[in-house]
Amino acid sequence: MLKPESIAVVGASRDKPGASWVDMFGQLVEFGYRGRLYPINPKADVIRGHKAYAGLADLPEPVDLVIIGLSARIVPWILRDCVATGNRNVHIFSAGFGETGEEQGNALHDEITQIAVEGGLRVIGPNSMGIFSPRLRLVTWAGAPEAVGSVGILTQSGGFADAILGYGSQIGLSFSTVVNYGTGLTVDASDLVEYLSDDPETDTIGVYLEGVPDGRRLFEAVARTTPDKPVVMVKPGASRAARRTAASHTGSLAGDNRIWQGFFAQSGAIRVDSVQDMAHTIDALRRLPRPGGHGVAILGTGGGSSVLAADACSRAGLDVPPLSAEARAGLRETIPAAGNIITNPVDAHDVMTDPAQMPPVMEVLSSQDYLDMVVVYFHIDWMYDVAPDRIAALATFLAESGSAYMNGKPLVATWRSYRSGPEYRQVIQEMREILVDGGIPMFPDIDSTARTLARLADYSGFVASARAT
Amino acid sequence: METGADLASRGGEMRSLSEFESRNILESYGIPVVATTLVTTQQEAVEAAADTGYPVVLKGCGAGLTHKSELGVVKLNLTTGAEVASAFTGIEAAAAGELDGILVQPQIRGTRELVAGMVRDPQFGPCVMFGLGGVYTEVLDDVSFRIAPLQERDALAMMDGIRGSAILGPVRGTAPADRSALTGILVALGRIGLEKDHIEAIDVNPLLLQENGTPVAVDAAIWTTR
Repeated sequence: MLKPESIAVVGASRDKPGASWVDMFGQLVEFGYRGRLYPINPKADVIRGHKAYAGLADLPEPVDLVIIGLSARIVPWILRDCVATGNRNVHIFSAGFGETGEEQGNALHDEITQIAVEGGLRVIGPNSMGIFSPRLRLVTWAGAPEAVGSVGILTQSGGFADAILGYGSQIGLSFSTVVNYGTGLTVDASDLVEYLSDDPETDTIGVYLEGVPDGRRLFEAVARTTPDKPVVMVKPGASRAARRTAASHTGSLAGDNRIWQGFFAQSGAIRVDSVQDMAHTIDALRRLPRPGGHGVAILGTGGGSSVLAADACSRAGLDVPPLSAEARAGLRETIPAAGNIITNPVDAHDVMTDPAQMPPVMEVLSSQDYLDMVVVYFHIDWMYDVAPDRIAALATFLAESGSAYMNGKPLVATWRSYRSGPEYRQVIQEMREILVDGGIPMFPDIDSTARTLARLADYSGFVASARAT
Repeated sequence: METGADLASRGGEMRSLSEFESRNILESYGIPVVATTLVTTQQEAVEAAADTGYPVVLKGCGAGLTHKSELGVVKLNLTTGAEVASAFTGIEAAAAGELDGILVQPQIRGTRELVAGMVRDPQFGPCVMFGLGGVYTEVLDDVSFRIAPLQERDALAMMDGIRGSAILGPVRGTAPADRSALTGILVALGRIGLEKDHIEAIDVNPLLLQENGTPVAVDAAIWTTR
C-alpha cells in the first residue's frame, strides 16, 4: 500500500476556478502522481481533467489505496464501502476520532476499528497526512521536496513529517518514503518499521513516535533492523507534561520513560530529541565511516572556545584525549609555537586560514589510534577579518580532499559566528553549500556536533557488539 | 518509583505471595537467596537458629506482611537462644494473626544494598529492573530497565547504566561485585517473567552485596494474578 499504482480519493473537491486552497486530490495532480488516479465525488463528472466517479463501486478496478478526506461521521460509511468493494488499503486523513478524548470521537473510533478489523482493512490514520513518495510523485500535502533519496521516515505527527522534510532538505537529505500514520488504526509503527526495514530503496530510518499499542512487537522489529540499517528515533514523553500532551495529540499511552531508555539501549535505536538532531544524525550516519571509538580531535582557533568545545564533547559522552608527545612533535613541524596551542583541541590560527597546511595536520591527527574522528571548527568572524575568502577556501579544501587525509575516520565541520552583518550570513551560506555538496556533514554548533558524533560512536559500538554475539 | 507493591495496590485481583513462597520460586530459578527455615513454634525457632549459626534474623512470614520492618515483625542480629525465643513471641504479637510461620535466616553481612526485580509493562511485557536498593530505591530512584529476555551484555549494560554504578566497584575495602552472578540473577528474573504468565511483579530488595562481592537476596516479594 506504500507503493500504490492506483489511488482513489473519496471526497475530491470539484474544480473551483480561482480557489487558492488545493485539496489532497489537487496536490496529487499538481505533484504529478505517476499511477492511475480516480477522484470520487457524485456531484462532478470531471475533476482536474480526471473522470470522476460517484462511489468506490463505480471504479473500473480495485485500487491500491483509497484516501478519505471527508468529515469523521461519514468515514464509517466509506469504510464499509471499502470492505464491500474489496479495496483493502485505506488512508484516513480526517480527524475527530479517539484522539479527541470525547465521547462522540471515541464512539466513532470504536466503530471504524471494528469495521477495519472485521473487514481486514489496512488503515493508515485517522488524523494523518498519509504517504509521501517522491519516486511515485505521491504526496497529499503542499511544499514537499522533489528529490528522490533513501531516507525513510515514519511519524505519528504530520507536523514532524513536514519539519523533517524541510530541515532535512536544507542539509542535503532526500527521502524514499515518508508516512504520517497518525492514530495508526490497523497499521502502526511496527508494521511500518518492518516495511522500511525490508525496503531496498531505504538505507536509514527516522521515527517520530508518541506511543505504541504493542511495544514488544516494535522492539523486535527495531532490534531486527538496527544491525544493518540505523533507526533514529524521537520518543517524547520524558516529562509528565509531554506525556499528557501526547495523550491528547495521538491518543497514545507514552509509557514509562525508564523502560523506553532500556528499549533504546537494547534495540540499538538511536534516540534524539528534535527535528534538527534527527536530520543531522541521519546525515552523519549516511555520509560518515563508522568510528572505532569515542575519541575526538577538535581543530580550530581560540582558547576559550576550545575549552568550551572540550566541555561540550565530554558532556555528550565523547573523549577528548590529550595528544601524545609524538603527535605534538608531528604537528609542531607545521604549526609554529607562537600564538598556537598544540594540544587537543588544537588551537592553530595559521592552519585554519591556509588550507595548504591542512594535509600534514590532518594526517597526524587521523593516524593517532586514540583519535577516532576530527572536527574542524570554523570561527567565521575571525576568519572573515583575516580575509573573507579564507572561509570558502577551507570549506573547498575539506569538501574536495579532506577525506583523503583521514585514514578512513569521520571528518565533520561546525562553526560559530556572533556578528549580525549580511556579509557573515553570506559566507556562512556559501560554506554550507560547499560542504554539503562535498559530502562533509556540517552541524550548526559545537553542542549538536558533539551530540551527533557521540551517537554515531555509540551506534558503531552497538553494531560491533551485535555482530560479535 | 513504581514498585511491585504499587502495582499490587492498584490491581484489584493481585495477590502477594509470602516471603517464603517468593524465595522458593527465586531459588528454583537459580537466584541466590538467603538460607531460610520456616518454623511455627518457639522450640523449632531456637533449634533452627542453632543449626543456622548465630547471629540470626527472625521474620514474620505471611501473604499480608509486605512491609515487615514497619510492622515490627523483623528482629535482627539475634545472638542467643533466649533472644530468639523472645523475638519469636514479639513477632507473634506484632503480626496479629497474619502469620503463616516465622523465618529463621543467618544474619548476612554487607553494606551495599541493591534492588532487582521484574515488572509486567502494559506495552512491553516482562521487563527486568536493577538499581540501588534499600532506602535508596525510594530516595534516589536510580534504577535501569531492560525488556526480557536479557542477553548477558544487556545485564552488564544495566549495571553500568545506573548513576551509582561505582558501588559495584571495590568500595572501602570491599571486593568488587561479582558481575557474572548479578548477570545470572537479572537473566533469571527475565526468564521468570517470560515463563510464568501469572507472576505480575517481583521485588528483590535488598539484594545484598556481601564483603566478598557475592550478591544474595535477603528479602523477596512476588505478586501474582492468581
